[in-house]
Amino acid sequence: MAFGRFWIRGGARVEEKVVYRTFKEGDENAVKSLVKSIFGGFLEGEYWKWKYLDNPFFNRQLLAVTEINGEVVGCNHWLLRNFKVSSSVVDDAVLAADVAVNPNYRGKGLGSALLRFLRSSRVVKDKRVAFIYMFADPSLVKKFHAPAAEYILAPDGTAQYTKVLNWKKVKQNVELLNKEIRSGKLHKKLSDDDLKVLFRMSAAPLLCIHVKKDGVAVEESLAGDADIVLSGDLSVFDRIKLSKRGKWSLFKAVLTGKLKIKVKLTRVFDFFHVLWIFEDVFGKKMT
Amino acid sequence: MGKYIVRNFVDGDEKRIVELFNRVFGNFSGYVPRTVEYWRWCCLERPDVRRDGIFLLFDEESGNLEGYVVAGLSGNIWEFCCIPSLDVALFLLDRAVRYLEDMGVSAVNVNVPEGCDVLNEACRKAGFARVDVHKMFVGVLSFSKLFSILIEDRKNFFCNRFEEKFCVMIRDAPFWVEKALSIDINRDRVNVFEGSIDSPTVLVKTDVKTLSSVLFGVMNPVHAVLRFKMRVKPFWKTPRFVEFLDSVRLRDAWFWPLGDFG
Repeated sequence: MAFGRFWIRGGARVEEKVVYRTFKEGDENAVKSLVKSIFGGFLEGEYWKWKYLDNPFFNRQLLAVTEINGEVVGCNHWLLRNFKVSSSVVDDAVLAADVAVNPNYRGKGLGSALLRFLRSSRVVKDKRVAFIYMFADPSLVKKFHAPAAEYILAPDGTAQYTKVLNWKKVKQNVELLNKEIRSGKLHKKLSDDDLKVLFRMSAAPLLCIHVKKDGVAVEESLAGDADIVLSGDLSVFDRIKLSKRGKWSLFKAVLTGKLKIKVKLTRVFDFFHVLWIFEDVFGKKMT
Repeated sequence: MGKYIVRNFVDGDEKRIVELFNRVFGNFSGYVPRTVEYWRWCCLERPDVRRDGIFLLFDEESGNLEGYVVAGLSGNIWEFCCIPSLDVALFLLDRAVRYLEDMGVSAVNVNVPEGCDVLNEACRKAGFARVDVHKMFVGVLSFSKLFSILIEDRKNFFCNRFEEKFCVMIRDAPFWVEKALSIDINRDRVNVFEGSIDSPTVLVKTDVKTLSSVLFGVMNPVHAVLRFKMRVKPFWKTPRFVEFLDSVRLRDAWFWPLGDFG
């Protein structure tokens, strides 16, 4: 499927030839590098090959790519699998796996077109596949997948559990932050007095973040008294972390009793002044 | 706890592993039924899985495989399956966590079916917290096929219970689903096909989202009718159609092992 379209870039009309087609010999490197640039280490090299090319259910007719002026700028992977629909019914179903669009071409409807493109695939029509399923972040589904491809929440009965073994990644994040502080690039204020914040999360070791005048330190135990103690469920911390309105989510969790906060009254304002540190440290990958 | 032997995976274990998985999770749905080929790809050949991260637990007396766990270096327990015994589940989970701790992993993730009390209790006792990060979504590609597979399973029930010609019209249907489908049920057979049927006894107008939600069991058909998302003609046949949908729709909640996720 090919068509011409144009958009305005820098005030000038730019015409581009957009092609939607299935994967062919020679696309491998372009698709791999596109997926790697979007999903990072998760799908790089060996992993992509294993997930798709080595997959017993892989069919190259179900890997769609978008090409603009000969460059691969988007891709969508489908896997046709056996699926246990109910306790006594097994049938074919499609897993909609990774969809990727080059960030420079987002917001132009390429992703939505990619979601729809494979729905007219001969393979799916010939096999008379009843449904498609996928795993995603609900906020993205509401904004992107549901309007473009009519997805609904599945009857999900899966309990997902996590246990944090150590705070290695948080320590790495703090090291990065300290480097920025030391280099003087960061124009934000640290605490005038030392501030110790202790996090007691379920399914995780203790985490004490010590904000000093000249930097931040992390300890996995508590030495002395903490000025602020935050305790609650790991999932609550996770939700606050994922939320775009970090401070409001924190308030909400405290007000609804999902997060308990023990604070020395004299240090409340200090805590709010350095909230940006926690947003920075937890905003990156935590575990 | 009885006497058990734990060892790492060796070639030839696949068949027993697959049998155990399909037996233990036989009452659940929502996953890819395991075959040796799929299991080898899904677990054994996965880039972050090493053979020393797959633990199998056998009963010492009978030699039966009682459970196994596949731990990946990314911190994901891709498969965790055992006979319903808290001791066995806890033992396997503990072994996997210790292995991942030794490998320097920061966090461990595991999925279990919500309806399996033993596995849930084992996770809690092993110090895990529930965090439902990802959600599963579903979209219909062919309503007639979906009706067919759901009816086929209990064909006799439908033949004995309903003798109707249902015609379902789908408002604003996107190009990949049918605009109309018909279900013709009589004493001998059920026929589901795309398009409308001559002189239907029940005519229904609805939309993709409502019909999908009802068939996958996430919306009650009565609610769909009461909220005017589904209009039935003649009106007095509404209870009949609601009864039909209620019999067709999926009732099991789906369970997806982490291995099926990606």
